[in-house]
This record gives sequence, C-alpha cells and structure tokens, in this order.
Amino acid sequence: MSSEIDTDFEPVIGLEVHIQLKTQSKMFCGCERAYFDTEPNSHVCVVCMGMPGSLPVINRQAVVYTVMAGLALNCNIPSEAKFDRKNYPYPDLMKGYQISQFDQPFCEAGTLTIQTDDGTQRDVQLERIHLEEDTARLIHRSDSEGSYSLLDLNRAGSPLMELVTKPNIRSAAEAASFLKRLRQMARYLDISDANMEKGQLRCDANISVRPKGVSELGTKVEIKNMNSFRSVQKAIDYEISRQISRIKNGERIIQETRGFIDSTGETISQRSKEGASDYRYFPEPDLPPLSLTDTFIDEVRSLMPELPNSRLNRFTDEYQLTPTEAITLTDSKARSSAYEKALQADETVDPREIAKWFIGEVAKHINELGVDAELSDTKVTPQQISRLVKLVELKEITNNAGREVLSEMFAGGREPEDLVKSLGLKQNNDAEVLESAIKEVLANNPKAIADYRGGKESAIGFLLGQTMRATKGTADANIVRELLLTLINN
Amino acid sequence: MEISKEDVIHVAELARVQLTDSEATKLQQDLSLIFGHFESLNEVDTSNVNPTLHASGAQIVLARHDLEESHQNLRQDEIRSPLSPNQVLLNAPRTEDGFIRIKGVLD
Amino acid sequence: MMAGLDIGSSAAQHATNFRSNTYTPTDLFKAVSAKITIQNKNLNAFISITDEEALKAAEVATQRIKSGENGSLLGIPIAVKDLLSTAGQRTTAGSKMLENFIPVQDSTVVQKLKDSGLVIVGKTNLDEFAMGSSNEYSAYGPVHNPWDLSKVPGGSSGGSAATVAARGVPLSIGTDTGGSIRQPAALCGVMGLKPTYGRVSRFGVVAFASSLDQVGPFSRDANDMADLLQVIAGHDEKDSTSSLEPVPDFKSTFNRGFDGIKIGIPSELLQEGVEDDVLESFEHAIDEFESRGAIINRDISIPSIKAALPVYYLIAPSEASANLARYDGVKYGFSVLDGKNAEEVMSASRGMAFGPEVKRRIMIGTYALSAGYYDAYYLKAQKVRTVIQEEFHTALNEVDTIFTPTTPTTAFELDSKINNPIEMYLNDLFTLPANIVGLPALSTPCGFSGDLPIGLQMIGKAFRETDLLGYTHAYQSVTDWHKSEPTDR
Repeated sequence: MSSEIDTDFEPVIGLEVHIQLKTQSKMFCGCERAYFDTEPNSHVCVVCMGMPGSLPVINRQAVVYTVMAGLALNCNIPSEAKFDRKNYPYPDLMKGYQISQFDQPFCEAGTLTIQTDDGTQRDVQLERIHLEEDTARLIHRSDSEGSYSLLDLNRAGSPLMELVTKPNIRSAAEAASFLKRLRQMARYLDISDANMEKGQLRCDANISVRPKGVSELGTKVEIKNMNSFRSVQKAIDYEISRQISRIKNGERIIQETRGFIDSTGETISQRSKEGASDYRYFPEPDLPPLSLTDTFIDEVRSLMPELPNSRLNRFTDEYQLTPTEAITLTDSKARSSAYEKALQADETVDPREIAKWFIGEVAKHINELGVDAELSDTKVTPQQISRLVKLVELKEITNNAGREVLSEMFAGGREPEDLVKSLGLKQNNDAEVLESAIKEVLANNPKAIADYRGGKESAIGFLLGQTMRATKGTADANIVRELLLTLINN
Repeated sequence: MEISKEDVIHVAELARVQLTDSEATKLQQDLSLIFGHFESLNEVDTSNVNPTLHASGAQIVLARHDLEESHQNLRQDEIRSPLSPNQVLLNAPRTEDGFIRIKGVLD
Repeated sequence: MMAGLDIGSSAAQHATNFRSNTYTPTDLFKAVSAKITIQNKNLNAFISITDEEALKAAEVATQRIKSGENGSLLGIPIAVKDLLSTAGQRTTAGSKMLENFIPVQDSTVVQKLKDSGLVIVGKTNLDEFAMGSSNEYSAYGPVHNPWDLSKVPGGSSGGSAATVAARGVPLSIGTDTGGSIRQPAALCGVMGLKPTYGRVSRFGVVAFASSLDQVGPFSRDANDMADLLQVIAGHDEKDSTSSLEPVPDFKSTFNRGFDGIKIGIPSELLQEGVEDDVLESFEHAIDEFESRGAIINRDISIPSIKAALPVYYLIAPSEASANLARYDGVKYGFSVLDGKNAEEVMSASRGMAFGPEVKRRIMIGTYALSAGYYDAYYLKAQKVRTVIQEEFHTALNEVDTIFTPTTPTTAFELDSKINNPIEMYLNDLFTLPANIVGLPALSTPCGFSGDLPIGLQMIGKAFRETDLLGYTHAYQSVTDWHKSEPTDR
C-alpha cells in the first residue's frame, strides 16, 4: 500500500499519550517506582498487589508533576479533582479496576505548539491531562502445555499521566512533532525521561479520514503498539492510506482497535479485550476528593523550571543567537544547560562563538554516541569547551587546530591547553618561520606557480593548503595567503 | 422492571462470573424483582441535589506545606521497603522463576 | 476450673483479677480456648481458632502484667471477624475464594489489638464477604444463635456476636456496612457499635463497600466497649478515609446521667412492620430514659428514610462489584487451573468460588453501574444519599440522638428467609441509614420476646461516640438487660 496521502481526503487524528512520572515511589504506595532491570516482583507490597483490604494513599509528588505539566501546557487547573475506578477485569490489573480520573481530572484543555508539515508553528488543542496507575507487566511464553503468561508486578501501580488531545492533528508528521515537543516538555520539567523505547512515553492514536471540505467526522479507528517515533509515523501513514483505499473501494470503516506490527509496517485488527468495553466508572470511595487551593498551584508554579520557549527567547535576546541556533540548542534541556554552563565559565567569550561550536563540532562528537546522547555522557565538560573556544578567539590556536584539539578531548578527556602544547598546535605567525615554509613549498611546486602566473587563480589555493599543512595548521590562513601572494608576485 | 436473561448473561460477562443456566434464570428473577423495588427512589426529588462524592464529606486539601502539618491523607514521595518475593508469591496458584504463572492471555 | 476464674466476667473484671494475681492471662486464655472449642460444635461461631499464636500472646501478656504494666485490656481474650487480615493466619472472609489465603500483613486494627496486648483467640464466622443479615451465607456453615440454636444470630458479624453472647470471650471485633454489627448484637443480646465513618482504620479489612464499611467492637457493657474503642480508634496513614479528628476519652461522659438528653424518635420508621414485642420493649426503654430526665421528641422526621433501603442496595453492591473484582484466581485465592486461557480461569474461578448472595450483589452492582443505567441507579442513589444526609443533619440539630429499635423483629428461624432476598434486606431497614450518612450508632439490649433478645439503637452526631457510650452507660446502670445470658451452650 502506498504511503502517499490522497489529497481528496483529510485525516483527523487525536492522540492519547501516557507518560510515566519520575517519582521515587509508586502512585499509591511506597514501593520503589523504577523497575527497569529489576528482579521480578521485587518492588511489590500489599497495595500495588491489590491484596484484600489494602488501600491507596496518594503520592503528592505525582499530583505536583501532573499539575506542573498542566501549567506548562496552558491547561486550566480546576479547584476540585477526584479519582475514579475504571473497571476492566484483566490479569495485568491487580484490583480488577484501575484508579484513574473520569470527569474531574487535574488539568483541562491546554495547548502544545508543534511544527506543521510546511514548517510553520501551530497549536494542538488538548482535551485533558489526568493521573492514573500503571498495570503489571505480562511476559508471553509457551511450553509443552501451550501458551502462558508470566506476571511481574514491579510496574504495577506506577504513576502514569495520560494526556488526550482533541482530534486536530492532520498528519503523521504532525503527530510525531507533537510527541517530540511533549517529550521535550517532560524532560524540561524533569517529570519523566519520556523515552518511548523504554515505555516511559506511550502513544495510541485515534484516526479517521473524511473527504476534504466535509465537516462530519469519519468512523475512527484506534491504533496501538507504536513503540517509537518512527513507528508512530509509519503506523499513522499506513492507517490513513488503508482507510482512504477502503472508502474508495466502497467499503465501510469498522470502529475497532488495530495493532501496529513493526516488522511489516501494517496495522491489524485486534480482538477486543472485553466485548464492547464498559468501564463502569464511579468515584473511588477509598480516596476523598481533592481540593486544589491557589497556594498549592502557586507552589507548583514556583517549582517549575524554565520552559523551552522562554529559554529560546532568552537565547536570542541575551546571547544574540539566530532563531535557528536558539532552536537547535534549546531542543534538548541538557544541551542548552551545558551551553549556559560554558558561558558562565568565562563571560568574556562570545556566546555566539560558543553556540557555533556546540551546534557544530561538539554536537558531531556527541551524536556519535547515539541520538539521545548528551555532553554529560562524554569526558568533556562545558568549562573545557569554553576554554577551547577562548583559545581560538584569542588566536592562540586556529579554528582547524581547535577542531583537532576537540577531537582529542572527546577521545581522551585531556585539558585543551595540554593538548595544544603536546600536539604543538599553538598559533605561530612568525614572519621568518612562515617565509621559510612558503619558500620551501614554492620550490617544490614550480608547476603551480606557473599555473598561477598563467592566470589560473585556483592554484593559489593549492599552495596555501600545502603551506598550512607544512605549518601543521598553526598559522593564520589570511596571513599565510598575503605572504604567499607577496612572495610569488616578487 | 423486567431484566432479560440476555441482560443477565451480558452483565455476568462484564463481571467475569461464570453462571450455570439455573443460576442465570434465578438471577433474572431476583434482579427483576430487586430493580423493581429500586423504582421507589424516584419518589425522592433530587433536582438541584449534588451526589454524595464521599461518605465522610471529607476532602484532601492540597495547599502549600500541606504535608508539614503532620496528619494528612496524602503521602510524601518516599520509598518504603517492599515485601519479599516469597511473600509476593506465597498465595499464588502457580509460579515460575520468580514470576506468577498464569494461562495465556488473549490479545 | 481455677478458683475465682469466671470466663463470663467482663474484660474490666478480668483485668482487675490479673492485677490481684487471682489468675493470669495464660490461665484465662486456656479456659477460654477450651470453652470456645466446645461451644463451636453448637454455635459454629469460629472459622479458625488460633491456639498457638494466642498462647504465645497470653504468655507475653502474663509477663507484661507481672512486670507491672497497666494496659486496660492487656491480656484480655478477643475474637476477630474473619474479614480482618491477620499476618500468617488464614483470613477467609467466609468465602471459598479465600479458603487457603494467608495474609502477609496484619490489618491496622489487628495490629493495634496486638500492640495493646489483647489475645486474639480466633477468627469468627461471617456471611461471605460480609454480605448477609443472617450468617447463613458463610461458606463455612451458618452460625447458630446461642439463645436458640434453631435461630440465626444475625449477620454479617454473626460469629463475633454469638461468641460474646455465649460468654466465650468478653470482647470481639466486627464490621458494619449496613448493620452487620448492630443487627447481630441485637439478635444475640450484646452491645455492638458502629463508629463514625473514618473513626477506625479500614486498612487490611477485606472490603465489601468502601464508603459504608466500618470496623467496630462487640462487648457486653459500655465500659468494656469504651476501652476497646479506645484501642482501635484513630487516624491511620494507610487509610486515606480515616479521619484526622482527635480521639477523645471515650469514658468522659460516663457520669452525665440522663438529665436533659434530647432523644428524637422518627415516627415514620416505627410504622414499618415492627413486631409488637419489639415495639413494646423499645417504648419501655424510652420510658426509662424519659422518667429519669431525658427529653423525648417524637416530631423529628427523616422524610426520605424509606429510600435508604434502595440507596443502600445500589451503592453497596456497586462498590462491592469493583472491590471483589480482584478475586480472579490469578495472583491468590481459589483458582481453576485447567482453563483454556486466563479469561476462562478468571470467570470459572469466580463462578465456582463465590456463593449465591455474593454473585447476586456483584450482578446488582455491575448492572447498576453499566452503560445506560448509571444515572438512573448509582447516580440517583448518591443524590438521594445527599438528601438523607441533609435530613439527618437537620434532625440532629434538634436532638442529641435518634433512637430506634435495632431490628424490626427478633432472631428468625434458620433457612426461613434465605430464598427471599428482599425480605432478608428488609432486616436492615433501621440500621443501614447510619451507614449511608456515616454517623455513629450502637445497639444495646433492651428486653426480650420470649427467650430472644431485643436491641435498642442509638444514632449519634458525627464523631460523638462518647455521647452514645454515656447514654448507654447510664441506661445499663439502671437496667439489667445486658447482664442476661443464655443458658450454657
């Protein structure tokens, strides 16, 4: 099936995103939340196990994080909220119901700005953000008795924030942009690592298509099992094409849940977990309703770190960075923070120069470690980068030499000054030294001289390169060039 | 109030309770009778009445420093020691490698 | 039997005798254990008798008393409804589902009993998951009423009521969701108290209906009851619905007498099929109070009180349908191991291990909450609940307490109502309003119909258990109903 979207149709996409909150303990009990790489059933108590008589107690920090997300995403924070029971018997759900929020969530409405397909910015409207608990992990196996499942409760009862958008996303690329911006926000707020591959950020999509110009919505299909940004994009593209071609063939769209199969890039119909699901929500009688006072909301606001947009504006205003530079730097909280640490290390260094290094050479080295790597994953500190840039700025070393030093810094973690010394890269524009080097180059390349004199301007570039190599890049290219021209023309 | 046997079977599926045919028949009668009695609720005028949200009328009031005033029906984000894996698996019908083993789950 | 040891003494008397070294908690425990074991053949009040643990606890208590420790209930034997988790001791909830279930942690109330040195002698019989008014829905057989073995003891805390009535133990613990302490207390001729919702922790108590359940004590007099309530009351950080209200001295009103008690009687209730003997005893009790200085107000009204029954039988099963969803044969409890898949194991396990009343209530609750019916049933019930709450609030602005008979009838024949759920539910008519509105209420003996005891119910203001205990103490100091005991069973 083609992934090209038919322009006679318009896709309508809404996302349901679950984000695991980075609390110490679980949502309703004191068990340690982190479960990655743990022994099975080692972070479990009577509460998250749903033992008879166990009762939930709200983790205040999880509420703080959710409200913080709401404030960051321009949500309305109501003065009253409550938890409800969502009933669906399933073996990964310890109590047979999930404690969630139905009609009084912590955050209502809200917006998140995304990059649209044509490169402009657009606000995606949010429906709500609420707080709930995660399920246990089921591992599927089989043996001579047939297929069976193993249950690990370490994840059961972890705090999970669910964000629901209005159906106003129009393409797979927009959906991916939304998720990336959401991840950026979660990381800025430090409420989640929001790593999709680790299941810390999970996304389901509701997709329908309608003929262009029609306001009525088509039948929606829910897509699950998208475990990376790439698969979100692939799954949505596939599903849009599938629906359009069905409609064109005169077939109906069936309201259903479909799972994305990564290996084939297709979505396939999933048997419904429970007939027509009927969650029978009702207020959680084990938890009194909550009143969110203004002093609480103010407290959460005061705990909020700087958000990407305000950091971006600050970078263009204070440091005179171009918008592109500022966007690139603030894309990751860690990167922009490292950048600012480098600035603070020596305020005499030009912020724009440091920015160029961060975006160019430094980024190149970090990216070799993986897409999500940061400077803190390397042996190099922001302070060292500042000193290196300063050396270039003071013309202690040339740009080229700076690159070489940086490579060595990433390779061995040594100080820039030491490397300059041991590699002999200190800038040397001593006229005598340069003259003798140039004379040697000229003596060895009579043909190039002839070419130049014959009118071939580019020959000078070749001679310049030879001279730079001979001086190991320690000389300033402009000075060399001038000297070279003088010597040839004489 | 007449509740059909299909209703009973549907509700039993929602509740995941396997019923024998005679149980379903008896429950159909019982539920019809009981829900018939519930109609008397309509004699109470509840226009402009809010539903009871919580038995005690209590609320958890989130405010600055709410946890510092010792008693609150909220929790600090602190880790408490878990059960031992043996305790977790003590009552499990079947276990394997530290996991609880169950029959295959339909997807 | 050891000289001076009367098993049937009050807890306070036992405590005095421990101090005077007439006998030790170990002596008393051994006597109690022998007695309840014999009685159990007739009464079936206990599902488990926890001899080994209890002997150790009694010996520890004996040492603590020797070393001069002074807890009011230190070393006193107590029975606990088998709905409260006991670490390492099976807790069945009266169900086949939990026949072999061993909790890994004590309920908060059990922990508090142990901390105060009470000796838990056994886990008492009950209607399955506390759903019932006759104790006939136990998977471990019915409990028999000590006053007449052919009669029910009431329920769901039937075992806890019966063993105190039969002088097996002076104290026991029950739970009350719609009358499950007060109704069996009345039918067995003992005292039973449902505290204000939130007064006692529910942590570790197998949940039936979370917004209605409350743990409470059984005793034979107000003095013992105040002592036991003192031990179990208070905020629990593990129960978000437990109240932050301070715990008073529950005996602080024991000297108040009768003077000026404003008693309200909701006349509309007394028209509801109350047996003549019950009504007569109730009126006698009112006379007792009035003649000694209490002020009786028969004009108070709870106009919507008749709706309490449907409200209760919608809210309790709705909450129960969710509370019991965890019993699915997956991580603990009864499990059908040969199902085709997990879903089948869940349905089959529940189908096989739940009894008829539990299934009926799960079905009522699931239906009431299901799509299309929520507003008509659950939501409507919660709105009517608000109305009833407001009506009680208004009434309790005019009076200090509301008196009613605890039950419309005395103990009925075993098997007489088991096939008629509606008639069974009507038994709770007087008791369940207090659960719906969360107010404290107690039942104390106030007469007999033939051999069968009758109970007087007092409903009080929120967190004013002290008032009710004061009224009862006054009443018990001028009457002897609470001292009557069944011929030895």
